[in-house]
Amino acid sequence: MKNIIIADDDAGIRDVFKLILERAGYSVTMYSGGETLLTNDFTLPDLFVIDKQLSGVDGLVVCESLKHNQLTKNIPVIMVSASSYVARLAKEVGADEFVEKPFKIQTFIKLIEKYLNNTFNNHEYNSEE
Amino acid sequence: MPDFFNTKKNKNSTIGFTAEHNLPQLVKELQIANAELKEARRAALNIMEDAILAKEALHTSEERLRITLEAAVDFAIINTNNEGIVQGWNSGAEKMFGYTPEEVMGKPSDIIFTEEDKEAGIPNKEMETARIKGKAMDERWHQRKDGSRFFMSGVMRPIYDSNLLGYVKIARDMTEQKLLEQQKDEFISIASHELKTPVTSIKAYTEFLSDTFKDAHDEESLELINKLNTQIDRLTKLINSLLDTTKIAEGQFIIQTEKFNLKTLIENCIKELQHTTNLHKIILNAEEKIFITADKERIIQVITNLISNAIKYSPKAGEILVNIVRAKDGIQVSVKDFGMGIPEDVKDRIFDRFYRVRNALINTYPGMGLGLYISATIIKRLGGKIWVESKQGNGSTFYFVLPYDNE
Repeated sequence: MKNIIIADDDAGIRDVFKLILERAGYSVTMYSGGETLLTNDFTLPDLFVIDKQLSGVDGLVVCESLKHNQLTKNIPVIMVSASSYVARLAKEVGADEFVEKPFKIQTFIKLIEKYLNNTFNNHEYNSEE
Repeated sequence: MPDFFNTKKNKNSTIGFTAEHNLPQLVKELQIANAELKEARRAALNIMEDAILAKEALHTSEERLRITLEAAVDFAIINTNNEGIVQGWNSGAEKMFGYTPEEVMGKPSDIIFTEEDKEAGIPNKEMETARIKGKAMDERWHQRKDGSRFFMSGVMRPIYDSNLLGYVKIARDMTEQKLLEQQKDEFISIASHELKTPVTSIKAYTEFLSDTFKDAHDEESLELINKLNTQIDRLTKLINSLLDTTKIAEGQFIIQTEKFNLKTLIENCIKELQHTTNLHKIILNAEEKIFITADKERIIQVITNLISNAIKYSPKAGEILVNIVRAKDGIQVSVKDFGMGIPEDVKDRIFDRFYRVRNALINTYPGMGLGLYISATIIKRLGGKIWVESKQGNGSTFYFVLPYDNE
């Protein structure tokens, strides 16, 4: 099963991400802050979903660090924020996609599938749609 | 005035001496000349007296002006010559900037600007604007002698005799008001941002429930959850309007342009909006291909706002006509409804922030009065113009024009 790392400081949103992604057939690891992601001390996922607003460190900083790290630079990062202006900043730090809150679940899942299905040819599950 | 300095001699002169004159005649002429001289002296004295009085009056009025300028302690009044060198510095200026008149008289007036504004050439630009346009607004952070900063609102005007004499600037410390405004905008920005997070969760859960009910063929619950979803979308729009408004206030409202077919875009908007009403028929009239370079998302926002208003303010149903035409100065879009119309006296104010038309007969309509303000900002930022034609009771037509592409 493919693993996705979620980093968001809001417990309500983490619950939602977990529900959406587990229903879609992914396993999920969640962080409320970004400090761990600045070290190499975590199991590499297939994709990151990172909110700009994290406890302790800015999500954009986390994204930039992941994209500069040899181990993680090829793993897709989806940046999330309630502010549309973050779209430009996310691009600047190398994020692969930007999603503005609130979003439609279907749109979000499609975006995830676009990356995970393209990266690996032998995907073992399909979208529920 | 008699010509008593004239030394030219001729026969008819009153004071000319010639051999033909006899004595009595000469005495008579002398008497006349003497009288004229007295008259001239009186006239000269009068003129001098007038001059003294005028000088006194001038002095009084100058003194009055000086006292007035000094009394305006809450206003900085600065006079410069046409090169921006300080010629006048009132007590208000001393109080506001911390420099005494002795410290600044005869020196460049740009010492009141911050380093970055000086580097950006703002002081010179300001004089140029004042010269060309007759006045220049000076609303920015300035710097005191001790280096501290304050927000100043002022206006600079050129002063003329027959030539440009220099400039006068009148300004006020508006730091308190500016900080309050910033706090208010910041609050709205943070509040709206924070509101979006729970809304994201709620929206996700309603979507889950909607799927669940669909799978269970529970039509009744599905209808309820869809209604809930509509209200969440409405809440999201309200939050976005508040965020847009604070972004405009903070100068962070970003416009990103691309080329697209305006007709297709408006067609899609109409399709979406037609779903929200059973009472209205939205009719589009346009050529097949009308390409334009603008901000696609923002134009969707404007069209949605204008058509939603047309629906909202024509509650007794009817048609809503949307036209796209090629006008002289650009592509013109109009949205016409047959509703209650807009009273003449408020027509100019409906594009203001937080302004709402109230109708005494039908209570009020929901909304915050931000839609048209945001729409007007978008159109202006895209180099276009927006206006309304309406007669109370006879519906309204909103127009906007966007400039043609340059190519």
